[in-house]
Amino acid sequence: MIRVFIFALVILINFILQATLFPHIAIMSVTPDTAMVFIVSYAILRGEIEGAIFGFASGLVQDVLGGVVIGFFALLGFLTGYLCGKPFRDFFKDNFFLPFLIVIAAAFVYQFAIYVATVMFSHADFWFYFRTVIFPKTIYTASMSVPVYVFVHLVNGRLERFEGLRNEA
Amino acid sequence: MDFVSFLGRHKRVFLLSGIGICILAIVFTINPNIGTNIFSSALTYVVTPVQRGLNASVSWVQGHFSALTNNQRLINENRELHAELNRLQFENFRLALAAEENEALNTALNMHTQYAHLSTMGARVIGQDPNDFQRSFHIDRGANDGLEVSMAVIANGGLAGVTGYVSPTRTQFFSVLDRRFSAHVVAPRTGDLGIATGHSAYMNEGLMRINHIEAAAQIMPGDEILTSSYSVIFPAGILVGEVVSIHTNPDGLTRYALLRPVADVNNLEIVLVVNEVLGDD
Repeated sequence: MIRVFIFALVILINFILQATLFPHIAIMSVTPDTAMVFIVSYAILRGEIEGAIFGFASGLVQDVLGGVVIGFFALLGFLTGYLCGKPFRDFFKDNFFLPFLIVIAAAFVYQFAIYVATVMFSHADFWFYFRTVIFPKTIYTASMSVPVYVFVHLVNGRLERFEGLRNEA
Repeated sequence: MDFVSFLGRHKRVFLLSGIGICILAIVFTINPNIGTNIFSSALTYVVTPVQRGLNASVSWVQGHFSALTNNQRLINENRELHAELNRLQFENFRLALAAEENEALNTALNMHTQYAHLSTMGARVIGQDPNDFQRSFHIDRGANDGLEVSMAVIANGGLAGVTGYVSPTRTQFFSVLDRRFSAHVVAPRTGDLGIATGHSAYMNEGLMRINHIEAAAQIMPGDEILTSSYSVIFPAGILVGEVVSIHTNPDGLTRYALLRPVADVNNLEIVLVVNEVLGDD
């Protein structure tokens, strides 16, 4: 239960930071999508089921507070969490380069999906959006992958130790 | 966790249920005029005060940081502002005379300022949508303050956007640079009409686009653009911006113009919401 509470708080604080602080650190009018990095990091550490639930919750918060259609970011988060958690669960968790690579791939697909859903049908200039949003946002987001992964790794490690002690008792 | 291991044993059902729930939610909420719901009500009561406080802290820190690092820039800016103040004081005096003359002429022509009675409400911008394909913001007023969908938002003396998604304590508004924004506009000098919209291709340059301008229109760079009386959302006569350039569409039949909005969308802090919906009689 404490795990649910802590990561719910992480999701909420991350959303608030994305909406308030991150516009001030925008580069080329693009902000990093740390919500996606949290989903990928959590999925790598906890597997596809918890990754998908985390992604769903994180996306739902973004839908409810920032979007008009509810379910779109929840679906993206759910699939990102599931797909990133599935093959990478058994990888060495202290390798920080792997999350970096997965975040690059996931951020690109994630941004491409947002492009398809929000812009493509009205203004289909893909290369323009690739140049101005998708590519810079992917790089900026990937640059956040190591600090976010380290944070999630740390919190998750403490929680696993706490849960292990409680189970023994 | 038992629940997680239960889901782990039924991965396919879990995956399909998750996708199904999301798609159902999308289908049921795809109407942009959807009202508030239990989720948003509960979350916005928690998030809005935190976001308001954090935004104020960020602005405070940023203000002090830039004051420390940009001392020379501030000195230059101060000098320029003094010059601007002198100029504006002179301009103000001239405008006061013009206003008196205008009032006298209006009385003579029996004209009425159609929207002088519109009531507005001040609101603080507390956040920005993280989606970089669009440019929408959150303000700290919502349905509890009487806000509704499709209300005009004004900043820096000009149109800044339109309210989109209204929850009890906060409202998301689409800025004039957002591709979901559009307004029927007029160039008062020539009477030419058009539809001003946010356009993703010009969003980062801070420009809007005016579409459907007739090929024979006399509109030119420097012309002021106002909301027109044909608009069903915005009161007529709100300043939108100034024309930057005119272009002819490939078909040769219509033209489009690029417009620099008067509202400084990337530095919004306080906005006014016209808290009356046009046509609500």
